[in-house]
Amino acid sequence: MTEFLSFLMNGVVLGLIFAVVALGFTLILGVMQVINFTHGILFALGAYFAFSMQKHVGFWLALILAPLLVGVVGWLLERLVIHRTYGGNPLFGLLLTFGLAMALEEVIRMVWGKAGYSVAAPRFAAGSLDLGFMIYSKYRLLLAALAILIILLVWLFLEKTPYGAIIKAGASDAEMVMALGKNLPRMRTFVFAIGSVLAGVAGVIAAPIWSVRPTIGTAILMPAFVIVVLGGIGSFWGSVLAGLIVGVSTSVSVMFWAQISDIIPYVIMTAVLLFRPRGLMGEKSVLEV
Amino acid sequence: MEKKGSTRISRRTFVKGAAAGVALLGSGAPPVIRRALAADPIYIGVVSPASGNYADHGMMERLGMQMAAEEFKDKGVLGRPVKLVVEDDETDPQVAARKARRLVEVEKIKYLIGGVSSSVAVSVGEVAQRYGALYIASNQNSDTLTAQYARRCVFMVPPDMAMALRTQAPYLLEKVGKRWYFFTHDYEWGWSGTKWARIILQKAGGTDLGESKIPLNTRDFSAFLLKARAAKPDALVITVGGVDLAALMEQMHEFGTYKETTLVMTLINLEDLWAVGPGKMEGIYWMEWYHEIEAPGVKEFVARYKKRWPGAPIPVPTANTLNGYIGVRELLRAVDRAGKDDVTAVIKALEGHTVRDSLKHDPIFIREWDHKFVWASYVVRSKKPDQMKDRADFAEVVRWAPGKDTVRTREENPVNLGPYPGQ
Repeated sequence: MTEFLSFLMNGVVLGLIFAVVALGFTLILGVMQVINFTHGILFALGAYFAFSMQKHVGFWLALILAPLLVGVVGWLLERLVIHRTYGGNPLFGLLLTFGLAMALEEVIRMVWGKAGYSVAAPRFAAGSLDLGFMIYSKYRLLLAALAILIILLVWLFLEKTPYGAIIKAGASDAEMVMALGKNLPRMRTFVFAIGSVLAGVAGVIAAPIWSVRPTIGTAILMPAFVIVVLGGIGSFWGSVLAGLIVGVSTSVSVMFWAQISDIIPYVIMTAVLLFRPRGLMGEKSVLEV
Repeated sequence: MEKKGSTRISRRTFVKGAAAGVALLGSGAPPVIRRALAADPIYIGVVSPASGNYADHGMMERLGMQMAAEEFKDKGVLGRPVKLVVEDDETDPQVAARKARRLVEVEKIKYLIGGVSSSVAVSVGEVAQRYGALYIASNQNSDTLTAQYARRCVFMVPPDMAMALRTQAPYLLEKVGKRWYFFTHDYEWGWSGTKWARIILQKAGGTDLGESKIPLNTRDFSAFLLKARAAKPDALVITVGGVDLAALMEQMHEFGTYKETTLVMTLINLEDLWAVGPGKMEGIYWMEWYHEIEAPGVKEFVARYKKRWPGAPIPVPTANTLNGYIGVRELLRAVDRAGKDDVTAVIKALEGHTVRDSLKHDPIFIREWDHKFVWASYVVRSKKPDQMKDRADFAEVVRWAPGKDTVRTREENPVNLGPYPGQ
């Protein structure tokens, strides 16, 4: 039982990281109807910016500055390129962001090189902690706390601020929002930048446990996509719930049958979609066009 | 002389244009076309990972291959220049087989080299055998390539996992307790490492506490580490490689695994240590080669590498670099010895040959009956950061064994390579 509890807790922590990665993805997909394949590379950029900054400014300042810088990259991407696909077939956005992701991965190789690097966890969170029923990584506990904080902040922003209300309104009826005098193009740019910041912050906090290398963006994209589809496109709590399901199932499956740990999220997604084609908490989305 | 306003091309302009065209073709056209135009180079098809789990290893082996090819730049081989044609195998056996087939079938290349993943090496080896090409597996370590997958057209440069564990065994059994838990990368090479570790443990009367088979491309190892911890082993014996190993090492440090058990890597590469950085590794490892060993020619080789690749991501050559270098060099020397550009003749020139300048403590002997390069390998202990003289100085060599003392005998591995190509 103690062993099961430790696997369960580890899964919850893992799920919280996945949920943060997926939040930005689902926000952009739900609000802007863009299947943003650059999300993984924005995650990678967050990790790389943090890797470069931490030596100079430390963990906490890098945790703030690196995602903001990723937000600027996201803002530029949207303003310069991605906005041209609005109103067209969603596949245009998908193909464009897919190409951009590949190009940006090469940029990462050019700037930081092909080899991987280790990113140090903050000194106070290095090593492990005895929780009584298990010994666990201090950094992962910190990471879980940060993930919960980020999830709550994003929720408060979307639910309790006027900007959040406009974003949600824009997602359900863009024309009406424009008719009411709101600047929809600016709102879309803002949402893309916020989604990028979320990808960046996930990259920063995940870097010390997964290390940085040019391919980490591609590696995280598929789990993020699975979580968003499983949770339901555009559903905030759906993504959090799906992230936890993926994390817990991956962790607990190792206890019983390790070889299936990497396919279990896909099995669960398939099973859920058979009965709920829009995912656990999803509504009609761009994928149904 | 051209008439003013005429569109006719003068003889001189034509000759210049044709020369430029031929020059362009020479650099950019496929080998099959270039062969018809130029001084008929000896082409070597390099099937090596530039992406996927072993991209870092592939990059380092290609640097060594290039160094070897450049040694023949002036004199050539059989009076002909040498050219490497590189393809990314993406660390994927199906992709590798497709690209190898294209090199052999379309480009008409007779010699192939490369392959870090053992699954890739097996698939390229099968292509080579089918089409009568010669394949040098430069960096895969599974013992199966010279056993059930042994073929007349395939040679294996690095020491295999049987040699790895036999080199490590005396040191491990003396320094570490006998309750072992295994982490196995879930493919050909991983199985091979755990199999030989288990044989050693069994012979020593130790306790096998179980095994976690780790899927390729796993990024988060926390659950596996919890499972291993529950078994309370004296040693966690790990056969995991590439990017996955770097992530695993990172997380073992994070979980403090090295404080509770001795970490034993049945094989580690400098690329993985470099990715993780100093201070996060503690344990006993097997390495095929290390740039600090005191063997003849090593200092000069390291100096040459540094001079040739001043901006390389890793500032010293790794075992992958050495194996890539030796593979290309010995292949070209064999073509020279054979006196003709013919696969069967080159296979015969390699079989039973001894290489004195191996850059290890013993010469290489290329066995004719299983095509194994037999040479030394090394057991190392990790250094603490304050013991390292530079960022690449991760390890201290604690033991080495000559290849002939650890390699499987013919009785242990009775293989039949079959007929020579075309016979």
